[in-house]
Amino acid sequence: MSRTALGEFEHHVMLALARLGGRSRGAPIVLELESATRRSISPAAVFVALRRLEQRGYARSSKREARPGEGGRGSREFHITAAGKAKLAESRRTFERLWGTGDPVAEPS
Amino acid sequence: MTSTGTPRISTAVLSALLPKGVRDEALDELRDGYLLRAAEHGRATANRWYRRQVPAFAIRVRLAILTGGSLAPPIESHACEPSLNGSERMTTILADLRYGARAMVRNPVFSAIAVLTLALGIGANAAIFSVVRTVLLRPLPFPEPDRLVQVWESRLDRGWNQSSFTHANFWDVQDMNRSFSAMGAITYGSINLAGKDNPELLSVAYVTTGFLRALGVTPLAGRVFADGEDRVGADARIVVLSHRLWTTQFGGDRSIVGRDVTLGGQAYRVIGVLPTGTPWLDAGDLFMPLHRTPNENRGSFELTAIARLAPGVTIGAARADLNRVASQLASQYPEAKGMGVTIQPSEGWVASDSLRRALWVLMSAVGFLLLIACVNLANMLLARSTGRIRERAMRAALGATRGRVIQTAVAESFLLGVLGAAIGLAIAFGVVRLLRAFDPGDIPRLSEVSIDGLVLVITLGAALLTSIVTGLAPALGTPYHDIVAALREGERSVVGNRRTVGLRGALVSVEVALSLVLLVGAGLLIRSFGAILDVDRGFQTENRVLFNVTFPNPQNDADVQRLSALRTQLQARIEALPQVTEAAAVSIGLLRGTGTGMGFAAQDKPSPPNDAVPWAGWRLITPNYFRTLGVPIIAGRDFNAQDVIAKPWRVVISHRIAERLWPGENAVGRQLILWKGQSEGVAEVIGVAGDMRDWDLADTPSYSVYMPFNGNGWNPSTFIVHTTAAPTAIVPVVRSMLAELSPSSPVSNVRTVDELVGESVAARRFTMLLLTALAAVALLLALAGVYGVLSYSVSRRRTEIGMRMALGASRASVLRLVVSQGMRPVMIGLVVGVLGALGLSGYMASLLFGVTRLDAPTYVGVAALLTAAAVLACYLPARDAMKVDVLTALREE
Repeated sequence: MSRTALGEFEHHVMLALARLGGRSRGAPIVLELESATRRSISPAAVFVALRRLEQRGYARSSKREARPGEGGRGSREFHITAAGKAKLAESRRTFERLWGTGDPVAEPS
Repeated sequence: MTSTGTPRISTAVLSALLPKGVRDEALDELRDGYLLRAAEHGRATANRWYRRQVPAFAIRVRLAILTGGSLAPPIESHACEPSLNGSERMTTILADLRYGARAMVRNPVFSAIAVLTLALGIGANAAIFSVVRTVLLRPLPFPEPDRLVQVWESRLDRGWNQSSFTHANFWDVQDMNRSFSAMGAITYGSINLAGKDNPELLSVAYVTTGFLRALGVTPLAGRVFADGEDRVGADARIVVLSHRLWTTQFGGDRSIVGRDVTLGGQAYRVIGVLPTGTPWLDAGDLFMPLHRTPNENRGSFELTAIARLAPGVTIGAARADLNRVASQLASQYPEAKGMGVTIQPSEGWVASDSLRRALWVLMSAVGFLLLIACVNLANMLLARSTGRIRERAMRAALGATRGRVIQTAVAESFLLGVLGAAIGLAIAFGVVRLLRAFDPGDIPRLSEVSIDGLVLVITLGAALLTSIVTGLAPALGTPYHDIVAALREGERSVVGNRRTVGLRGALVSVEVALSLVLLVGAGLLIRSFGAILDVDRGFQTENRVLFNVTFPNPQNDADVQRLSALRTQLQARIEALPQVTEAAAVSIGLLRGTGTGMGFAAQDKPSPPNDAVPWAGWRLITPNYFRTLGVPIIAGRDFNAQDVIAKPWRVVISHRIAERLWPGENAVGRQLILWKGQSEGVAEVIGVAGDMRDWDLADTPSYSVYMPFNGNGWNPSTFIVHTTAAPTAIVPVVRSMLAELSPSSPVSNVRTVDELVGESVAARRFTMLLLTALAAVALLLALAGVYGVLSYSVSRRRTEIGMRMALGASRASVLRLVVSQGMRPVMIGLVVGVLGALGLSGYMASLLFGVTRLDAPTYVGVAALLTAAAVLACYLPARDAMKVDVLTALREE
């Protein structure tokens, strides 16, 4: 159903969101990405990406009341939509088909 | 705020840098990150991190919005959300208005032209409507004006429908009628007000006591005349001041009531002050009682009469009642034979028929102009909307409802409308000020004209209606049924294209037709104006000046002798001046409106029946009157110093009288019956003078009878002086002569004859200039329409034109192709416009002079002008078409 593939960074954001239980605010996603990629991640990039994903229907957001200990007055919380899950699954299948069962890029030993 | 602990300065900076829509969310997001980091790595690290994010965040977010549009969550599809509630609808309307404003700013030239087009249409309408409303529609400044009527005598035996009343008949009608609650009469005169330097001549309205009572006037101060104050023997030395005189001469001082003023050398008691107003209340500087003298004159028609219908009496009933009175008088007095009475409602008091006609013509003209402006605006919006099919289709594809797409389109034209109305009103204010500055003098109430509330509301309504209708039409034309086709074809869409071009062509035809009608109207008025200035006036205008001299009013025969001597003396002294060629005096100056009249007949021919007696104006003149005005004596002689009025009766007649009574014969020496049907006297014709249009340039030359001024106490005298240079320079010299001869006599109404001619055509010039200006604007708008449609269609056909040129078409043939395409709707418009003008010009017939409403040169000239201008408007796009580069054009496909 989709015409455009996810960009790499968007893909990463979606996966991070999924790993966080499919529902999270932006800041934890930044930390999750930083710990996974071991690079410094720009919160602004995540901020923009989440909103573009939402506009494309892969995520949805809602305002959420602040919980004690979290600070924040109710920043936006994002969750993956059914379309988002399908998109992730589709891209995973694509990757798996492309990688195949062997290791196409392994250095010949 | 501080509990969150984010570095305060950085937060403030970021807050300032972020776009408003995402500011709160972005700050929250960063604070979340900050708190997480602070918990894990400590505040110092978190602070450093936070500071680093500030510029990055601001730049990335702005860049993202710039390249990819808003970051806001998508608006839910209408399929899931059937209706918006009130506040949501308000939000979308505001959003659409903002969008419209941005679209206007993006296209400044388009917006400026659209707004200006609308503003011109609306401004002209608001201005002229304000004039019409004030001059024609505002009620008279009297209570129950629909019960006020004007009353005329009629003498059907002489063919007169409306004549002034004779004194005796007026008093009898006033006493004998049973229809009026009050009736009054007015007549005019003048009197000197003793001033500090030069005496000033004031105009006096002599009114019967019933006059102001019939009008229902409440004085500003003091009282108006009471019953019985017009009785013979009542105190004649009382006066009511007009508002104008009260403010200009007496500084608006209420305590003037009860005091005496010196008029004509005698003390008059001021009893009251009138309010401002037109008509009647400005009929004179002063109002004095018209006394009921035992004047049995039923032959001299002098009084203008008005009346107020008694409650429950209709005009028809009053008419029957008065005709009963009239027939009673007719049978009682031989001089009243054939008498009848005419009653007219007060509608025509403010504006004459021709002024009414002129204003309605102007009103229709501005209506046409607004129509043209609307058509033009529709045309422009249509052109742009075609270019925006893709945008609208995209919005529809993204889930915008049809209603929302239309709302967006209308929002922009709504903004155009509001701006157009605002600028239009500014234009209207300017035009009204201009009109007042150019007051031709004979448009009543012009100085009272202002843009009032109703005009504001109507203007705003017209603007919004115009803009919404013109905005709606193109939005409705968007092909919702075939979004995919629209998206694919987009800008180069053929969807609806042919239909749109056809529609735009039709709009151009409408514009051309409307502006042709206006141009024909303006052309006819211009030709009339030219004709009236070119008409043979009969008298010369160059280096001639007129002024009135008011001598002391004669009380007896000796005074009359003295006055005549004084007049002769002054004339002789003026003539003796080196810069003066000739000088003369006359009882009523040129082109000064109404005058004196009488029936005439030849004694040596059978008298015509009474209703066929011709009517002549008469004037008293001194010798040299004709020479001074450059009028030839065709036969016989001019008066000389020995001619005295009625000793014996001798007259000079105008050529037309001679031709009418004695065609082909010598009139000199014949006997002329004067005041035929009235007092009847016989005079010898001693000369025949050239014809003059001396009452109104638009009239046929008058029948005129001239009698010697000598021996008559007519006052004031109008002097006419022919000088070798700068005619008005003579006036101070005359003033100093008078100071010697007759110190209490003022000089007033100084005008050169050229100025008089100009003033007499001022109203025509006013109408003509206005209509011409309107027609010029209309022409401009129509040309803009022609140009717009053609240049659009040329830009659409670049490929086709490129191909034609690639296949060997010459530039000339491309030019022909484009121009002929552009001229097709123009030609259709010309034909329709000519037919329309032929039909509508009938309404102007009474405003024309010297040309018929079917004047061929006007129609041909206007059509030629429009055609030439339209060809020019076609040339610019055609030139662009010829510049089409074959390769570029083909590659575009």
